[in-house]
Amino acid sequence: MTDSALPTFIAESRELLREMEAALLECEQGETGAEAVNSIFRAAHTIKGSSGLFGLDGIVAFTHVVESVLDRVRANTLQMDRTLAAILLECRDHIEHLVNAVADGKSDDIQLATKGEGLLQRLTARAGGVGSAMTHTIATTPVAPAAGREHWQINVQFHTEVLRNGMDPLSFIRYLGTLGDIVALKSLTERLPAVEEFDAEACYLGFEIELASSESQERIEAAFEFVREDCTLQVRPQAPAAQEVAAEKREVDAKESKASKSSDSRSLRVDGDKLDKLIDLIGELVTAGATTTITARKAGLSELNESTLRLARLVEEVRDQALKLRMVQIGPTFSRFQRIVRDVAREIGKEIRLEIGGAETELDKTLIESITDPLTHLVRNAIDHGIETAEVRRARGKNVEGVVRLDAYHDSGSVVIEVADDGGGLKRERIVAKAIERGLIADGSSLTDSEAFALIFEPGFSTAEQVTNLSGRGVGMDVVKRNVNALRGTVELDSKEGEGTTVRIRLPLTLAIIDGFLVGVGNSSFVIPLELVEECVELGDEHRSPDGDQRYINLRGAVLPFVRLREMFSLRSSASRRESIVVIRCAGQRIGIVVDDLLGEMQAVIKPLSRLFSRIRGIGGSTILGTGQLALILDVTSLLDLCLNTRQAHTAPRRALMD
Amino acid sequence: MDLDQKLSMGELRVDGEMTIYRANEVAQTLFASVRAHAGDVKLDLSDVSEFDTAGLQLVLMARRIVEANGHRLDLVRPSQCVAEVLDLCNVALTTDPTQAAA
Repeated sequence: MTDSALPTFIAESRELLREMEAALLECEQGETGAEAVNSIFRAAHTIKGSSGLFGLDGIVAFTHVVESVLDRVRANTLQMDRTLAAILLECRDHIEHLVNAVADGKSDDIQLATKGEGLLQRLTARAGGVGSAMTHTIATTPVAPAAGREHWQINVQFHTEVLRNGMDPLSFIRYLGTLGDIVALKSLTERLPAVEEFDAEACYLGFEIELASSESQERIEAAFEFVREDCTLQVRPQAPAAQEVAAEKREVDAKESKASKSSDSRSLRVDGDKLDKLIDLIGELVTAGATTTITARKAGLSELNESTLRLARLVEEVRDQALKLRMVQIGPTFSRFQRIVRDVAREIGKEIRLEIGGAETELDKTLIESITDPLTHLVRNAIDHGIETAEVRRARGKNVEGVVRLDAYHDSGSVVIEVADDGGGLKRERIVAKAIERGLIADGSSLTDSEAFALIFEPGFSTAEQVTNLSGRGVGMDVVKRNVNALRGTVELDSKEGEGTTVRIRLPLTLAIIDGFLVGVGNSSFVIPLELVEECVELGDEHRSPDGDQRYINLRGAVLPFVRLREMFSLRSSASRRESIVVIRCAGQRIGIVVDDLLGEMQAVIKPLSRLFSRIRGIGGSTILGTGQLALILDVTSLLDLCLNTRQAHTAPRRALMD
Repeated sequence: MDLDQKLSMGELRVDGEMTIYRANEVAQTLFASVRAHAGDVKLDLSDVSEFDTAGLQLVLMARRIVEANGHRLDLVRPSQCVAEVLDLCNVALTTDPTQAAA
């Protein structure tokens, strides 16, 4: 095995360690399922096996002991409990350190080795000796008597390499014993060769087992999951000959199981850069496609038009598929917080449980990476300051164990991530008082709850003094907001005093390409994210006062505030004869944007603006149109902010003057 | 210290691990001792600390070697881990007389 494979080993190990961590945390919370134990075992086993290939003896030696203990847990001869899970968790951390040491190129760290030995001693002490204490529990495992149980005939021949691959066939037989009663077992030794040809490290054994079990065939076959490729397995119900034919079909030989295994984990590791390059190219393709469509339309050839349309549709599909490649589930990221919650809660002596919802929600990999920090901040905040101490909770009649909840779901073209706690909630009056003191808002201004809570995201609220005054909330919240905004996302906060707080982060699905709605003002073009567009209406003459004084219309009985892009960006062209309002909805608010022309839907490849323009609010990026022209992509959230604030700050005085 | 050879009285003793990690080493010594010995063999497994499939195979092979010479190999005083494996795999402590004849 060459060193070039080492990075893959490290990446895979880290992934496995993450799975192991999640499963161990589950066990620590007392939810020890066979699945969790299997997954812990699988991780330890695979890491041991691969480290062996790289000659990383330190990792092999350490992991071997851990694996042996896990093997016994799997075979039900050792009970998984909180203490054991906690020690195993530390062992997991140690393996991670070892792997990291390999990654850093210093695999023989004396300090690490000593620490490892100490850990192993504790583990062995807890588990009562490794390997030697195989008790006869298997034989006496209480299994529910016969009702509904079938007798299975299992024939398994282990392949020669199985031992060298780090598997002990006996552990599978033991595990089988947990699925039912081994009624009869015969060791098959026919394959043992002559002494001269005997290889002590090869496996020649097979077993013929009669198992009485109420489990399904799949479950029984799954007992051999880890050696699927290293054994020939036959599981069939012990039944009259009539069923024999059907049973024959169910025969699982090595080849078949190999295929089924590879379909289980049919994934491919691809370099992130290659993917980015692909997305880039597809971006160009989208632009080029748009140019072709326009040219074709100009040429007026119906056949050409038709084929460009078909092409456009395909490009769109390719784009979607390519973007999906970058989509990953948020679950693993969420699971990582289990550990943070556990550790921080322990540190400050609170009992806190982390609940996770929507783990299968997918979002762009880059987004996930960039959202981890703000999320960590919010989760820590919730633990530190959101959830009350046990005494306070008891006094308030709440469950002593606090709950932090992470949730993710898709909502009209964006992803929402929620961090909720059932803690003390925010004290509205104190926030408002502080904001007035800080000069963030004028005295006597009436704020809605969400506006009041939004204040804690203001930079002014992040000084140390406020930490105590506001019972800690608001620490670095401005940083969270800035980070989220940088991802074209928004943060909002809900809170009920005494009941808890929910922070909601809303993010775009992807960073690279959006479906846009193209509008024109004068000679300039703008793109509005299509998913935000609700409808387009014509701006009636009565609203077209030249000074632009009136900033709302009556839209079917509801007040719709609007902004004129022409004014927002000081475009020096006179308004066209017909203006339209594009009604957009964002973060629960509706607003109209007044434009000259509605140019239709398009796919916009987002090109970031140069740093020079990074301070301009209301613009999120740019894109190149099929005509080669540049269009600016509106950042509707900040636009909304901008115009709502402008209304409060400027319009009111102006109106006062006019009156 | 791991593999004591007490050839007198036809008794052999294996100490320590009988696992894949030491399989080759144990195999060489064990088979050599078994072959060097004419007559029935008692294999003392009381001090075996770990016993896996590889260990089991060694025992089975040793038995086969002895049986090929028309003798029998009995396992005596198996340690707990050995006993558990033998029990699980239905391997008898003493050579089946019918097989020994064969």
